[in-house]
Amino acid sequence: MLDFLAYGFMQRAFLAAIVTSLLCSVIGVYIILRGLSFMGAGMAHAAFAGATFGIVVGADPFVMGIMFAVGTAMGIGYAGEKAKLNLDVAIGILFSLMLALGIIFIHLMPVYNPRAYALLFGDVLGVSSDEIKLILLVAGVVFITIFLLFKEFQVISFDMEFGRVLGIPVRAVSYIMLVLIALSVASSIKVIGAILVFALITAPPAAAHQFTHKWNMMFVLSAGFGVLASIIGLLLSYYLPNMPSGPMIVLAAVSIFFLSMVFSRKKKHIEVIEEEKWKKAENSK
Amino acid sequence: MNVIEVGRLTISYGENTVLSGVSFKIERGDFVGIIGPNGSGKTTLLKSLIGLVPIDSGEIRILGRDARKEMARIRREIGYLPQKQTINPMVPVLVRDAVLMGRYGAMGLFRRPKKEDRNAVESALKKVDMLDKIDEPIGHLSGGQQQRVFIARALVHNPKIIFLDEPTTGLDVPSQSSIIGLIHELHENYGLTVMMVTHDINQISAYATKILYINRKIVAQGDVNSVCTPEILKEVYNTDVKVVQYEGMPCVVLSDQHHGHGGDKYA
Repeated sequence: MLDFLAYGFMQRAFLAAIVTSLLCSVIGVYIILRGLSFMGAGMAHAAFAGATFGIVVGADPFVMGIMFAVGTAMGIGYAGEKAKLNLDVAIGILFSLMLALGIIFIHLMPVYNPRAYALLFGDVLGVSSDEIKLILLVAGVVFITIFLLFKEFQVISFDMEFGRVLGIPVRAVSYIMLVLIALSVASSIKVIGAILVFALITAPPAAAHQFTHKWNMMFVLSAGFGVLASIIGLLLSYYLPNMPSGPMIVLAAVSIFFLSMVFSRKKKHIEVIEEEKWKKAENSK
Repeated sequence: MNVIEVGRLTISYGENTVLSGVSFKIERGDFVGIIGPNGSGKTTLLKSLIGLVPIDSGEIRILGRDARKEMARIRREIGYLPQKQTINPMVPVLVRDAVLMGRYGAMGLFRRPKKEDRNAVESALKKVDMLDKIDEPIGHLSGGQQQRVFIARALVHNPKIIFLDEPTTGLDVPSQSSIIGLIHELHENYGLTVMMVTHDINQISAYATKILYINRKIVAQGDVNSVCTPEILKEVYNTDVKVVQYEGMPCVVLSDQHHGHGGDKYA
């Protein structure tokens, strides 16, 4: 049954996929609750541009991807504070710019480079030991920061103005969250791809949101769904002939989300409560 | 003893002066209504007192401390109920989590809640008669119940002054009455100083010890009977109103002809 784990590349693939899905699904909780999904997609494309730039100039694509994504996160955060235009517009412009830059950098490569195209759709089976170490390092930084700032992140997600009154450095905490999102997304594009990572940061937390009213449980469920999706996706790509791993992980994640909508007890509970509130209002007339 | 002293306060948004030359003093244990039309600057005034809006000039002293220099210390001794629209309804939290947030400021960065924090949550919920809902998701509560929980959140670190920004907005009439009754109880039983922004003087006329009428400046201040006159109200709202006596308290009603308005940008 576990014969696939006899291969070194499969062991690395499983480790990379599990850590990446943990990262994306945990940071994704903040992304969906704060309405930052589009921003996450923008950062993924920035990471793609950075990684292709790294290949062109001979720098480490992983590190360059992270630098571009973090730079974009700071830029979007700053634009959100200062710009008079809607943030979605700013992200949309940057989103297209970064994708265009990435494609231009690919065209600047003297020969066809499969590594560059893998950044768009992921290549989990090609993850090297060094890349695993970097993913683990990023995961360590992200999880430790979340642990330390857990309550501050909760407050700025729930009620930012109240956070200011509490004396929480809301601006700094918001920027730290953006940097964590950028780190998580950028370190995931080798595994899942810049285009597909969007599903991994939104589907598991969105599925978790269907089942719980508890803040802590959102993270547990989202992480569980994310890891489950990556394992199912990898197994499907291993056992089904000629199936790419990244898209299979995404298919699994999105399937979990649709199943969660069907089986959501929370949704049914809310419907009952809304009905009770309505009856109460009718009776009081 | 004065717990709030404001002198010659001026606040602008860009070139638009929202408040000009505002001065007043609030004594310990006062129940103060900040009243004015839309755009009069009453929420801006409240937010300036708790450091959410920067001031151009003037002086604010809260509990004897300079608000410009010692806001971090002041915040440990005040509670705040923001307008309901500031809350993100997507975030799944239980009542106990929402109230616990009121302790986060005093805990400091990186610290985790302790048993005393959890005890304080129960005590605050008891004060607002919501202890039985401690494990309920916030989204399951009615508007009035949610507002009680957020008042508990403002009280959970035992503040000396509580600032309330339109606490009855969006509630039905029985819930409005229940929330105002609760605020009165807290004022009476725990000696809290209350600063409350509201549109409606009738809600608080029976309880308020002081009224500040605001329309980009202080139009009038004093006890309910002295400031609740048709002349002053005409100046505040730029419309004709009648003042009638109801159970010994002044009650404001719109007269037949009403026109004119304040701005609507800085409510």
